[in-house]
Amino acid sequence: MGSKETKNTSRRDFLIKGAGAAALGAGAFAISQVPLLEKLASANEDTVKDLLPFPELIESDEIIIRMQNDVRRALKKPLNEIQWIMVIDLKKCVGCSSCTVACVSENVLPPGVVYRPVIEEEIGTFPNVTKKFTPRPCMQCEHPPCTKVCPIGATYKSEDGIVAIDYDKCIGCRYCITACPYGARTFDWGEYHTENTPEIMQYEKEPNYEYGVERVREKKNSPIGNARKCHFCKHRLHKGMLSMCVTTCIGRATYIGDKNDPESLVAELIASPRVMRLKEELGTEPNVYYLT
Amino acid sequence: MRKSNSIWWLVFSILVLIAFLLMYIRINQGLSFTNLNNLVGWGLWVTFYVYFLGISVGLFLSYGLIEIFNLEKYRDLGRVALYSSMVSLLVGLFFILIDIGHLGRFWTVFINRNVTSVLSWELHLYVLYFFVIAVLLFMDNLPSSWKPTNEPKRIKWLCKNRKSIIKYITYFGIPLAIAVHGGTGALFAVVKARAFWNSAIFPVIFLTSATLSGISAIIFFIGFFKKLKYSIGSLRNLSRIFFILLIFDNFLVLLQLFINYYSDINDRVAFINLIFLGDYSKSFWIGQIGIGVILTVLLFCIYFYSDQKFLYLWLSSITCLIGIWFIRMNFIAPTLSVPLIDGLAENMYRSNESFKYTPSIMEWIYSYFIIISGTIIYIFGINRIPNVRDALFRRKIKGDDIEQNI
Repeated sequence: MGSKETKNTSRRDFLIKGAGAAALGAGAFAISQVPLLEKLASANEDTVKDLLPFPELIESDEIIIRMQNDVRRALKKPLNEIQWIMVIDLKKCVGCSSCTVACVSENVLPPGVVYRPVIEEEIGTFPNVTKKFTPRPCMQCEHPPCTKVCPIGATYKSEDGIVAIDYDKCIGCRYCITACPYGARTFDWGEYHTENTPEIMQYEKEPNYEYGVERVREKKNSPIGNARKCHFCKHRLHKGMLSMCVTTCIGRATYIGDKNDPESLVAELIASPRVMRLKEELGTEPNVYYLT
Repeated sequence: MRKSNSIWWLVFSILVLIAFLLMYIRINQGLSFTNLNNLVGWGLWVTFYVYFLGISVGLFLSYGLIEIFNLEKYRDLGRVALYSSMVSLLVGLFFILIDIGHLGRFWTVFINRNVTSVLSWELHLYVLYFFVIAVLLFMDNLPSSWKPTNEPKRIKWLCKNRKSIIKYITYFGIPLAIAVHGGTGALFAVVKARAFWNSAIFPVIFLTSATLSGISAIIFFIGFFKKLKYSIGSLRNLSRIFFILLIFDNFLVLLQLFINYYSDINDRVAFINLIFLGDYSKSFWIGQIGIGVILTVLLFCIYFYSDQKFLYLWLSSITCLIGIWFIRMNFIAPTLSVPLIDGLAENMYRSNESFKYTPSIMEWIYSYFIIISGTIIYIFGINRIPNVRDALFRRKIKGDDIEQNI
């Protein structure tokens, strides 16, 4: 019994003495550092004085605001006077695929249906190697080969230049998919990302609002069994919002607007010598411009 | 009830039951059980559609020539050809029906027309073509001399003018049949996205292959229906036409392959590499060249140089029909297997996505079912259409040395 008490006392003493020593040490260190801290504080005051006032908007936000204004200005015109185009700056694209993911989320896309894949290309050989990222939305061609071949006219060029699909009309013959030189059309095979798991997740049963119509993907119902494609988020544009891929682009590499508006950002951008379009030789007159 | 009737009822009931089951699966699962994907969107069923349509047109053209040139010796063959072309057309159309995403909307193609679509024209032509065959079959089975019975006057008029009506409809039917299958070829040829298809010779190849398959089918029928009478002379002529068409068809195919390869254009050369050395090389070298050309020519040569034993010609016609199927297959899936943009496929995010297309078991099961159903309907029709039945089982050709060499 007596020996146990002696043991406890000695541990307590040790702890008290140790804590005291540590506090003394820390205090001594702080005192020794005071002149250095004073120096640092005064240097910071000088630096802050040299800086410009904080801007209200950063550059990329200005672009977004400008594009939104472009869209709103375009919507004031009759539809047939609008020509939506997309400009993609390949030098700015970092290949993050946030546009692809945002598009999948916005349009509740199933497996295999990808409206805006980002094509990765490795150029050169070691040690001179670089990667090129090319987002590939639908080109919304001026002379679309897909609308020409559709046996029932379910896909058509709408007044504002966007190539649309009437899901309730499409019979799913896949002729348009075959005819698109850009591989921009895919077929909805009726699959789910979470198929063959205990439960199909709720996010796959959420409605999408493509072409301004609320639809839930259900077996046997459109858009299952239909051809599907990018429509520049027509439903968003018509509400004055930017396409989802434009909004989420972290490199601010994607622009949208009305080509017929000379004041729009896109009209400005396509006047660049860096502009090129995919497979122009086919005479499709794509409405997606790339800045190389 | 007659015994034969009850057997037919049983057969049809089984067919209908299986058809219901298959359609139930098809409607519920869509096209997900096929091996089709967003890269190769047309496969086995489209191949069969083109193939049977080709046979139909080939048979009809053969019938048309017999009718227009009044080739009496071939009359029975012509009748069988006409009837067979109808069944073949229906089988082909059924293949395209099950290939579409929304089965229930197929009829809307006749109310929602698109004048710029070759497929839209085609679908209308198919219907017209079907009616032409049906009317010709009906007219051909009318009695040539009208007997005073209670039949209405219109029937009397039809019977009286039967021959000239048939001739005029046939005059109309021949360009129509050419448009039907030339159009099917054009359906592919107008697609500028696919370099290999986008050629003016493509519809011509389709037509030549169709005519060849028609002649091959006639030779096949001669061997299959042992009571179908034919003359030695007519068979000899048929075999010559068969061989000339075989050479011409393969010449055109070779030309198409050579020009594409010679062009050095990436997409075109990629296609050639795919079928010569790539994923489809077996189908090309064994199916198209081995069976369709080498074996067919070999069998024909044996036929030609060894007492003209019909069995060899018959086998040659079968291998030719198989070869034509492979031509169709090798022209469709491999063309779609050429990437439109390099690196695009890797971003499709679907396990099924592949440039190599091999039909799934379910695709084969559906195909076999449609073909077997077509065959059963064909056999059923033979016994119900008087002239076809006579041609296959009873009638004899007068004034020519009739012989069967099997």
